[in-house]
Amino acid sequence: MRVFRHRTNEYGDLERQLRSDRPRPSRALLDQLVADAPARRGRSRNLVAGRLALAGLLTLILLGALAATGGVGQVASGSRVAAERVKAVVAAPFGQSKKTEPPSTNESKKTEPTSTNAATPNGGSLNALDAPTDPPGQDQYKPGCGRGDPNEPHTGPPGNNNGFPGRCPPSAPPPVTPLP
Amino acid sequence: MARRDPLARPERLIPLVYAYVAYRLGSGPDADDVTSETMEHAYRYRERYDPAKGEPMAWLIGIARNCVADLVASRERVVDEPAPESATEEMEEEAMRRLSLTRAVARLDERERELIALRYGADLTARQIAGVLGLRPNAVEVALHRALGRLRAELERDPTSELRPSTSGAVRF
Repeated sequence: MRVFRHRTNEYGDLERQLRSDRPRPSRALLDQLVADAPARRGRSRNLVAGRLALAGLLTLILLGALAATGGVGQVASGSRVAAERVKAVVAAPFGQSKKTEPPSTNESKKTEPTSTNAATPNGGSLNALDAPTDPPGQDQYKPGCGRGDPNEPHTGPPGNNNGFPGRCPPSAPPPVTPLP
Repeated sequence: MARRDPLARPERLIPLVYAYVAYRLGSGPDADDVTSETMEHAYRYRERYDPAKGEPMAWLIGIARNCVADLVASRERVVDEPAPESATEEMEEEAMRRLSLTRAVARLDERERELIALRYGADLTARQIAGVLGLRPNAVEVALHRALGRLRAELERDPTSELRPSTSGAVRF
């Protein structure tokens, strides 16, 4: 530490002169540069605001032109049609089977197997047109019609001897166990 | 989080930037131009200033160094002499002293002049200089000491210099 102090003070007078006689800018230059500071700050902010305003204006003009030529309605109807088509492809088989096949139909099909089932005892369908009447979303493929132990093999509902998969019986309410 | 404005008080920063540039290039139009260019860049890119990387002065000096390097590269020369306007016979004593000091600084090599400009022009600490130059603070102290020794030797050689070395070299605490 002593060595360091000795070093710094060795040139103390020179350091003082270097600081006191450091070159200074002219008053005019200093005033000009100081005066430029707030102006530039404001200018950059104005520039950003101007760009945002221009972007908003262009968007409005584009939307106006689109509305004037019927583009908005066309886009709306197009998207509606697309949504309906997607709905028909994805949701129709499940909705149809639940709505159009009451439990009584299932009962009748149990005793009168379809031609497809008769032709193919393993339940496979030879005719692609039969697919909508026997959609895979129903519970005939679930073990025990969805009500059994998933660890046990199930061949279908009890009493169904017409081959697998058969039709599941309508779900019965759970048995009521009397309280002791 | 609101970012700190590095140019909140430009009237304090500009003289230090100018002093740094003038120690590097000599007072005159070049120093004026480079100082203006430095501030122009600083105003334009003030949003990029990161307080975590250093003080505003160190950030400004980083810009000024680039501007000085651009000028030197474009002209392929360094102004080794002070502005001719200051070389008149009827100069006052103080002006003569300044002139001899500026001449002596101009005769230093590039590295030493850079250190003197950063320390006594821009008034940076050794730690800040180390950050700007990518050195260790201790190395900066040693190099500055050497540069001051060279500067004193140059002043001794100048017949107009009034700043003579103290022969005793006394240590004053």
